[in-house]
Amino acid sequence: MNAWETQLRKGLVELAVLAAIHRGETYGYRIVEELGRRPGLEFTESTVYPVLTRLAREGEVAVREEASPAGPTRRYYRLTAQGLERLKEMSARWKTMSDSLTNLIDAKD
Amino acid sequence: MSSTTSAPLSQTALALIESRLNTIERLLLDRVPRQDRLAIVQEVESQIHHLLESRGSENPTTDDVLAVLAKLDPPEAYLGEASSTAGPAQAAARRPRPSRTSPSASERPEAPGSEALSRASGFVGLGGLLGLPLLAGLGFLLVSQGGSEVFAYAFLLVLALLTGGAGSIGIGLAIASRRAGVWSIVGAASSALLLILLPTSMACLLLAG
Repeated sequence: MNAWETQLRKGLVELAVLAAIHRGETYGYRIVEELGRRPGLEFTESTVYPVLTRLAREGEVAVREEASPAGPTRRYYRLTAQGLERLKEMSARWKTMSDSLTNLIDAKD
Repeated sequence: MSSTTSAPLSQTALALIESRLNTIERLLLDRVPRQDRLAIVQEVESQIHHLLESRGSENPTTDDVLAVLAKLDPPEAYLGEASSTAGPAQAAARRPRPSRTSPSASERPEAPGSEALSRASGFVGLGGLLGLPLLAGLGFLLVSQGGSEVFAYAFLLVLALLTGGAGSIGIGLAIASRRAGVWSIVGAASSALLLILLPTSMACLLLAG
């Protein structure tokens, strides 16, 4: 993977994580699995978990702990109002940039 | 941090998991807030047990644990991510703290002009090393062409003063530069070699005479 793609993915991981959580309350490894199914969003746990914990610390996601069938306590994440606002903002910016770049590449305007 | 699971794990298997979790936690120390560090480790532990359960084994073995650990990102992978996602406080915490011990040679702040001294040492040493065979050869030619004994001894004296002086100066400059840079090493080495070769050269010239 070249340096450019690495930088691009770094910029997108927070948006991807917020979007994954927006689909419904979920836990860390489930987010990794969900993103891993989507081409270009195959972020591994060492990328996702630090972002998750930072989002929780900054108040964008709320955390609920629950005993899991697999043994240790599992952390469940859901978007807060602040997180939803952030997701909307990032999504809008992403769509604008994505559309502009697509048009530029396709030489439509 | 203790690992619990619905399926009993052997002590070895538990130790492997603990070791991985402890390594990640250690690497994240001072890079992310404590709260984040513990949460990340908790997530990894949860993932490990989830993967063990998905293998379908009622009593996961050490091999199962090793297979699961092999699928995970290595602990070092968290270093890059922790750096890029940490906040300003953590960035400040990661700034190198002043060492209590005396700085090593490579950390010592360079004195003004030490690089110039280093280069001078290199040039003097190398110059002397290159000049010695030239001078010795010239002396040999002159002596062997029937020069007088007085001339031979005088030439030897000049040779000794020049090369000995160059060698001493080269070493002195290397020391004065506090070994700043490659040139000081080159200078010190070539000057030392010069001082070693000097008596040899003089002996050869004496024998030739």
